[in-house]
Amino acid sequence: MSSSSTTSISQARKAVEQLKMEACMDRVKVSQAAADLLAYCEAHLREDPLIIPVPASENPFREKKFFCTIL
Amino acid sequence: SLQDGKVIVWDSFTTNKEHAVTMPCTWVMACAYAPSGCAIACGGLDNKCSVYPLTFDKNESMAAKKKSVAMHTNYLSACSFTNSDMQILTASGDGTCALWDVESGQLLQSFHGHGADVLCLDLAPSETGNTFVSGGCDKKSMVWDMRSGQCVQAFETHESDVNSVRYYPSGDAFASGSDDATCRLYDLRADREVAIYSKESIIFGASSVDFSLSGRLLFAGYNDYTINVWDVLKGARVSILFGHENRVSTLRVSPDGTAFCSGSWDHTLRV
Repeated sequence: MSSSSTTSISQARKAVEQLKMEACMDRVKVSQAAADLLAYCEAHLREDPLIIPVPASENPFREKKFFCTIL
Repeated sequence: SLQDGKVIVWDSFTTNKEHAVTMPCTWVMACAYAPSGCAIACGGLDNKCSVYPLTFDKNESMAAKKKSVAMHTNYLSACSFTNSDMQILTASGDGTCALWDVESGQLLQSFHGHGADVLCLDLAPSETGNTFVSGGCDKKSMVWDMRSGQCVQAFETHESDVNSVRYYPSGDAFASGSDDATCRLYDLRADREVAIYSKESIIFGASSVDFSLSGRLLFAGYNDYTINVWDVLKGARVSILFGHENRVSTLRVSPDGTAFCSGSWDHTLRV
């Protein structure tokens, strides 16, 4: 009986310690954080082949059409 | 990795099997490629993570060179090499994550904090440092410091198991997919959820998520056999992909961003 209450007390203590640590964290405002995510996206948009398609000549997954020549 | 105890390495352009290894346990749940491409790690119901060096020599048996690296007290749900071939991070049904040295098999750090099975993990992109995020059946996503073993941030907004977590390419945010049929974006510096990707018509859990190279698109595989593509910034669905004939269980964008691959319970991998 007492061992289960001591474990739950120690678990609660650990939880409180963890929460104290997390409360001290320096937080950035969401407006700033969101602006940064947007900026990263804009900056790398050009490199993303799924957003800006690469020319068919460089696309490894293009449909391959083989033309046969009759000799 | 397959449910019948095999791990297969494929060539995605020729669709040929390059290697196949039979594992001693019936259900392989996790697999990972080493950064050098010279080895693979896998594990599952055997509670272990084993590393197999890849060899193209037909005379050598891959199973013979197997090295057991990690030991958990429950199934292995996810594994990933860190920046080198020398360390592996594992997540387990025993509620913990652990960092192992591949060469000696020694446990370097363990991460306790999840209240239930840990289902997934993802390492922060190398520029941002030594952290990783894990998601579990306790509905939480937790961010850990790999050196100290401490949980630095925890997020609990999902309403069910978190099946998949993936860092945003900049490392400042991560997305998670859950059995509650939503995907959510959490910003690490603001320390909160900043977006939720859901629709009333989507009622099946999301099993796997990944970002496109720029982070503009979020691909998510669902248990209703579809893949939804979300615009990360606008929060709206851009596209829905049909093709699989059973649950989509895993999904990954290629390192160069030109394509992504999805794996499903219909026994196929589609690119």
